[in-house]
Amino acid sequence: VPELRFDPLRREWVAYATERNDRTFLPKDFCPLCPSGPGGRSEVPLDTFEVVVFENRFPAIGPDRVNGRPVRPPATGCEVVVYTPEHDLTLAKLPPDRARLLVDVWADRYTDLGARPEVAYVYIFENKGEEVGVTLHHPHGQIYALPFVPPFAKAELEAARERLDAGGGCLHCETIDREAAGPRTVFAGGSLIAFVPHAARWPYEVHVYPRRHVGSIAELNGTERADLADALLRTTRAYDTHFGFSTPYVMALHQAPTDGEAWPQAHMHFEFYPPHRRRDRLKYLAGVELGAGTFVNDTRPEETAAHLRKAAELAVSNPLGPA
Amino acid sequence: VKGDLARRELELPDGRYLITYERKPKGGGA
Repeated sequence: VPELRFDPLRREWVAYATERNDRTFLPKDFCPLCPSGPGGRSEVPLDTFEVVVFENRFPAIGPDRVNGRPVRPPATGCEVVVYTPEHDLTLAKLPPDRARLLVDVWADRYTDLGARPEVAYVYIFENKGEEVGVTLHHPHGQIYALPFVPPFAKAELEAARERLDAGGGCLHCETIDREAAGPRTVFAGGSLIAFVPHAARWPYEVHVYPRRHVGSIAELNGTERADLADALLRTTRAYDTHFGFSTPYVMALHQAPTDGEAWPQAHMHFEFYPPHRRRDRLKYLAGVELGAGTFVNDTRPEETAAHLRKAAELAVSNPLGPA
Repeated sequence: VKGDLARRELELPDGRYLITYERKPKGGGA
């Protein structure tokens, strides 16, 4: 059973899930996420599906198990979101209608998981590529239904709350207004905008925002959801086009906690962290990043934004890119 | 079904849940 321990010096929770040592690791002749038909041995015993969500067999947190079965009703826990039955696709290569469905699925999971009394934060993310520790290549993401607000989201929320309490507006909205007119825009169209942030930690980090102030993905209207799906495709295709291969990344959705409190300062957005600093070099987290918490980069965000802006334009004319 | 989002929940043999999402309802509950 996973265990959470709190470190009072760092003021952070650390999860221990020793059963994850036994999870499937880059299988060569079998994919646990492909549909295997009724009674099949994969995680998805269906003939086919569009998008499927299931409880992670190797959760990093909760739920407790009795006699090998998860305790009901479910509380905190981890889910896997499989984007498509097609093993060789990626988010970048999803058809637009599947990406649009995925946005609806995320919104539904946010609402569903967030309604559980024990869940303070619904953290939706994707790890893509062996460089960021992926153990299964089939296109999928994950959701952690956490009993606490994780530290990165908490720091953003506290900064935004201070601005509101001081009589200012939304810190995120101010950022959007500034970036929309600046040199770090990757693309802007419709109700969404994508940019490399002013103080990006990763060379090719991109943030994707709805321009309207909305706290969670569930609050997006139909137009915004369609625009978000398009923006996620454009971002990932821009990466593939720029680097010339199917680019690894971590994709993280930051949004309002679900702990029952009011979070007027929350402004939902996606953040992408690709580990590559150039086509043939990875950025590693080392002494300064891990030991001091300060990121050092060898390219400026304005430069990488220009690369991605050009790639995003190319990707529009060649949406499936070179990878 | 929420809007045009069809959702079907199943139980896996070990008790975990699995939810399918489709754009259009194809039967089997919501």
